[in-house]
Amino acid sequence: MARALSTITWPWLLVLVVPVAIGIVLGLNGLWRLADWQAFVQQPGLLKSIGYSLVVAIVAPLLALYSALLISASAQHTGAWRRTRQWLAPLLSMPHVAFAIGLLFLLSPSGWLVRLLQELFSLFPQPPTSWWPQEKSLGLMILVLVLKEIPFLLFMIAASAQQFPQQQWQRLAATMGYGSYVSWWKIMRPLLVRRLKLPFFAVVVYSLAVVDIAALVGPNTPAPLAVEVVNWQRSFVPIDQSFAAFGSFILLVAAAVMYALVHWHERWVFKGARLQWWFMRRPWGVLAIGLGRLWQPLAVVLVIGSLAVLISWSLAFGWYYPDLSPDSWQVSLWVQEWPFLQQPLFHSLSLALITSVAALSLSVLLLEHQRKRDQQWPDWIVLLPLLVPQVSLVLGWVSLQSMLGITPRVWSSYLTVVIGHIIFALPYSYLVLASHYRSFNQRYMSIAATLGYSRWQAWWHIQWPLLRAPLLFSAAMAFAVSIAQYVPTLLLGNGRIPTLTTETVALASGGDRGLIALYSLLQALLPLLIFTAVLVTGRTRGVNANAGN
Amino acid sequence: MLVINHLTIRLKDAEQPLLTLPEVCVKKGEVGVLMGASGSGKSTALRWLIGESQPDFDISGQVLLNDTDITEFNTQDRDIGLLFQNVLLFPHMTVAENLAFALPKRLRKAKPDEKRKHVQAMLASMEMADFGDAYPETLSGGQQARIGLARALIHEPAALLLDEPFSALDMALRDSIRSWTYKLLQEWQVPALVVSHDIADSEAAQQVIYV
Repeated sequence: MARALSTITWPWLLVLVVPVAIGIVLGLNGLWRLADWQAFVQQPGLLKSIGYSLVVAIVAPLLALYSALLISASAQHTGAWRRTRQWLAPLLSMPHVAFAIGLLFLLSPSGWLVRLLQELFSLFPQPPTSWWPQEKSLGLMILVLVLKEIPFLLFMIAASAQQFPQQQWQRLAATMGYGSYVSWWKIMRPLLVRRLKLPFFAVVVYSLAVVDIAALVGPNTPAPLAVEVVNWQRSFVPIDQSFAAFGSFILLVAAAVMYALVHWHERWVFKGARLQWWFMRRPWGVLAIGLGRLWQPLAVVLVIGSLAVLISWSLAFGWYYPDLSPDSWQVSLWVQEWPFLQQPLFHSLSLALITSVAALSLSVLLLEHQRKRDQQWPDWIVLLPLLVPQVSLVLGWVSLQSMLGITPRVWSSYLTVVIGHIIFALPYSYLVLASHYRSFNQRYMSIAATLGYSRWQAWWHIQWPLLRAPLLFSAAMAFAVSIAQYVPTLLLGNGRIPTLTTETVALASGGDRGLIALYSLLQALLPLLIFTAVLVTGRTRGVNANAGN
Repeated sequence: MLVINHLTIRLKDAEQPLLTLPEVCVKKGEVGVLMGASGSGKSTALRWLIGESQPDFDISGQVLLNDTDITEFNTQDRDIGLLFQNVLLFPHMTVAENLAFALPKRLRKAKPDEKRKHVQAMLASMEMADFGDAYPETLSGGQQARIGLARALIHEPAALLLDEPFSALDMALRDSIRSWTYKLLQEWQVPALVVSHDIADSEAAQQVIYV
């Protein structure tokens, strides 16, 4: 910690710490109103709401982490692992909201899966009442979060595993009689769990405080706490503003407790607690191999299935249960909706483009800053905005807006939304880029300097072409994160900056599946197109995957 | 002529110097070899010679190149070329593009035909005239070593530093590439300082400095 703190410099303070500190401190504005606390604790369903948030924050990240570990354990060094990594980009790029709605349309009691079962086996002439997952349920919310977080954790595992000599260790273990699954589980897993502690905690905090997915597919009587906080914040009843601050405070305390649990989990894993050896028994090995083999087709089916069901609903005319396809296909909805789509589409695109350029530039500047000083910041420094419940931070920034007397006009709302997006996109953009940037062989730059080129000339001629793929991927990641932002866009924009995401969530409370599908589809397509463009244009001729290292 | 005067390298806050060199003078066409074990400060000296800042070390001394004191010059203004053991040809450029990138400043704004002529002449002198369109990954180790030296020389540096230049080559190739390199340096009349821990590199050199 002392070593980490000694590396603190002004860019870090300016870009990451100041906004987070302001968010936390000002978000708690109003906590001292004791009378309001009494009214708050008597809110109907409050305990249940907190309970939902805690259950989701514990169950979803653990299931995602252990699924990702089992997939990695079974698929290391195989073609399946390489293919899995290739499929991570489109999965990572898909916004949570679009993914949740796609999954809802696929798996809900009136979704495609049930319709298919009815078509094939005549099992459900009516949508089943005892089906799992139910629409608007804790189960569906957890399922969406698990499936959406597995790719992120697989990505982090892949990046972390490269830092260990795992092939040599596994060869060594093989000479001692261990199979590849058991040796990976015994040797690599504890190291990875330690290395993934903070990204895993970021997943926990996200699950604890997620608003959009909870509002779309989570329970609503009551809703998880973060959703209630946003509802209170947007309410016109004065006391509800205090309730929002109290709810935000509870989320912060819950996040601190969760950190203690994550820390304990890491220690537990690292100390080799007895319970863990269960995972080395044969059934778990078989499950791991099954998961490893199933993951890739499952990922393909989920991405393509979600997109297909969204396309179908956006073009459907008259589609009733239990039909597998609509009565007819029409583009009328697209045509009718186009005038209303333009503004959210423009906002989403412009915000995402500005965010991706800014996040990429800041990532490069922060990495260059460390290179110049021969430093390497620890992960927590950069992950800071993701380690605090997003809704708590944003409430603080909203308080700052009113304290500074910023009149909510369109341009000022747009500017604050841009800043919010950049702060939340920067950690992802940085994480994607950092390991590639650090492993770039700086001797190329020395050679260019001896040939008379300035640092920035050399960066443009040498470092940019050699790191083009990770640089573009980093920008694409920031683009996707920006497209998916709901709470910062809604609250910092005072509702004046409609985007595809805010409109999708608003529409989801209505029942028009065609309209919901149309907005979700566009929300999913934008980052997918950017990632496709990066995959097509990112490769530099003559540079293989390890060049530049 | 490359002259190094009273070079002393210390780790920050350390009393004992890591490396001291009273005076080294390498004349045009000569090869000087800086010999020493790993960790003796050879590579640090080399980085200092090309003008890179090194925050972990306290370094004092003077570098003269053709009687000009270049100690305070930026790397890009020193006119000293550099060659590493793994050559580090730019992998996204063809062989010809690697050489064109290294042309001296006065030729960089020349017409494409003129630049091409210079590059082609250099490739021909290396007996690699047909390799201009090849990418570095398609070349053998020996071919990469030759193009690496060609890239350093086409810049017409006033001196050349070579960091363990032959250690990445296999034994069979090492001797022939070494004698070819030293011969070429003599032909081009470039003073060269080789940093090495391989005794064979010093045998054909004009002077050897032990650190």
